[in-house]
Amino acid sequence: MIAPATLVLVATLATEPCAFEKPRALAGAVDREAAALYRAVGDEARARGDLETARVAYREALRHDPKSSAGAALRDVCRLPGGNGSSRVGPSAAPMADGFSEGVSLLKKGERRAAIVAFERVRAAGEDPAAALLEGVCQFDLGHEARARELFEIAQRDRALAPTASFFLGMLALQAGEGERATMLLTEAAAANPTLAANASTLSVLARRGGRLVLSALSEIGYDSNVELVPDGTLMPGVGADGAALLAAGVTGRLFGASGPYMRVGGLYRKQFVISAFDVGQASGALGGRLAGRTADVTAEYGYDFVALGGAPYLSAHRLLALGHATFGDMTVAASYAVRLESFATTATDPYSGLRQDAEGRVSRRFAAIASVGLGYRGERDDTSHDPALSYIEHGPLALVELEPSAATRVFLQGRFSWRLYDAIDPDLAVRRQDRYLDGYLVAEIDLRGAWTARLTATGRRAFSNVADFRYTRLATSLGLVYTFGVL
Amino acid sequence: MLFLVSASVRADSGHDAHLFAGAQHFQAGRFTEALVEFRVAERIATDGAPTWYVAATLVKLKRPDEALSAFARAEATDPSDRDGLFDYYHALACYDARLYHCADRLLAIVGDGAGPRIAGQARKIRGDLAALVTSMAPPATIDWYHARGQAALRAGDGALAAAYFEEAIAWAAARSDAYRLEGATEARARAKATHVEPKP
Repeated sequence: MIAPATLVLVATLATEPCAFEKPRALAGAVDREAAALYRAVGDEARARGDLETARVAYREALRHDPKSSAGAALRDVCRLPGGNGSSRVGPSAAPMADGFSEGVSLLKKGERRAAIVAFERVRAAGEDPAAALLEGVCQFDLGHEARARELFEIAQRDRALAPTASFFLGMLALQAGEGERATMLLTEAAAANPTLAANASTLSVLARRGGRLVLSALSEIGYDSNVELVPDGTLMPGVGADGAALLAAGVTGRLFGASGPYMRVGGLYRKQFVISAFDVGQASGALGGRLAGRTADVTAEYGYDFVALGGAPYLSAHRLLALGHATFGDMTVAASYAVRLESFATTATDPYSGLRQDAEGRVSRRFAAIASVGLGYRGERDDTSHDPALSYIEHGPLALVELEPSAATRVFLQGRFSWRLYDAIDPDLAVRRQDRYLDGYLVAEIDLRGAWTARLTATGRRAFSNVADFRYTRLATSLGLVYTFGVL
Repeated sequence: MLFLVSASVRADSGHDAHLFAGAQHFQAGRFTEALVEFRVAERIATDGAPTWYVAATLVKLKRPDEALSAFARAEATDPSDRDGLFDYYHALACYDARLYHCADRLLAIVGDGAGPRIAGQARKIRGDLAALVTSMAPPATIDWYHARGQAALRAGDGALAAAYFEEAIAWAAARSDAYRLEGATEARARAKATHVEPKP
């Protein structure tokens, strides 16, 4: 979320040095005659070297006719020394302005380190908030958060640049898990500069939902065509469709921000409308650590789950998880490995107890700011302790699409195909089971006001098997409301 | 300024609308925006009235040389619009350009018609100037006015050049040796003769 927002903003800043200035609303209906007059006044002022007046006149021309050629003239003026409206007076004005233009040009080309050198040179001749801001953007992009923060704080002292500087400081606070400070800074930026408002509001929502201590709650109702809980996902004969209501709550603590140790505890209760024997209660906890850099992160976690079914103990499981992401431009590579030591507590399910391992790798690519498409492969090994006929290995490809049609809407789609081969012949079936699964998964979320999000989920499975009894279709859907709030 | 413009224009069309918009910016302290509006009004007006406002705004923008040129142009094209308030701004332009005799002369004619506050302000500045304009300027000071006048002449701004030479004459006349008085007088005549109307 943060990287695209940065890119958009940096692109704006880089292509339009005058973007620092608060833009003015359109004057009303297009008035080409008035625009031409303002344009003429701008040209005249520019010819005299009065760039400030030229800039204002060109802006007025654009306000009366957004398609006016004054746009190009304004860009030209903004690129001229002193044309971006910052105060550059005195003997060093020309060299400073040249360095600034050079820095902007390098930033546009993506040469951030060279741009930093240019902006440093400008600032060496006397502190320049505009140069500090753009140098801060470069440092921010390079992952030098501490240096970027210093520079944004310098830029923040300039009234004209303060909203943009606050926006970036808010992003840094958000990255550091300082939700309250991030909210304050982003709100400040949005209030002072309408062009930042959309991005700032989106990030404010994230900030309110992030932080060192985050509370979350979910309530949803759902429908499942096959209420089944056989541990390996196989359909339990005789169980039909049912609806359910679910309540879940959790607390996540990250005392040192996004990077560092964390803990999570939570619980859920799902009440079936009809088949109360499948009512589920679950309590979970996890302790982990995350090492997060600008372009990559790794996480390691230990967790414990306790599940009750129909009011009786059902499963006790210890689990370990390791996962990592790395981003290279628009590409993201992710890998995960999870292992769960499962102990089922009922007579019917005890044979399924054992060690389950799951590994997955995926590569995804972001297209524009609204879509991401990925491919991956996953493998699973279920090693039951007592019965090789219930142990299996499963693997197969997956494809995923993530869409963000608006700042407040997200859609996640995943499809996968899996081959599953059991270890041994099932003595009851007199056959070694070979299953195949086609799975689809959809999540759509819309951020509502404050800390609320509406969520729709849908899952579907088509199971194929060399045993007719294990061929089935399952559809499940739910509609819920999620509350997530960062209290610290 | 807003009152002045409001009282004299209809803010619904043509240059009047731009004068009104400029006056609003002026009153709000947005002098560059005001200048743009007054410049637009100047371009479409049939008289020289907007030039007075351009000149006053240039005073606020601390661009006294340009303001003096604009005042000269306004006087040439629309003398009927001259009033106490514009004289006051003109005096400030002179003061900022170190044309102290010019400032003193204009402040002396700013009457109560410019409003009691402006009139009071004019009296105060004039009081401050009194000691200065009655003193004797050293030759270096007079040389400085000559240099400024020559520079304005080279830039083709005869009106501004004439103002600087006028000041040199005033200072020279107060000296017993009339330092460069003759030269200043000739230069002023030349400036007026070669007066090239600067573009707005």
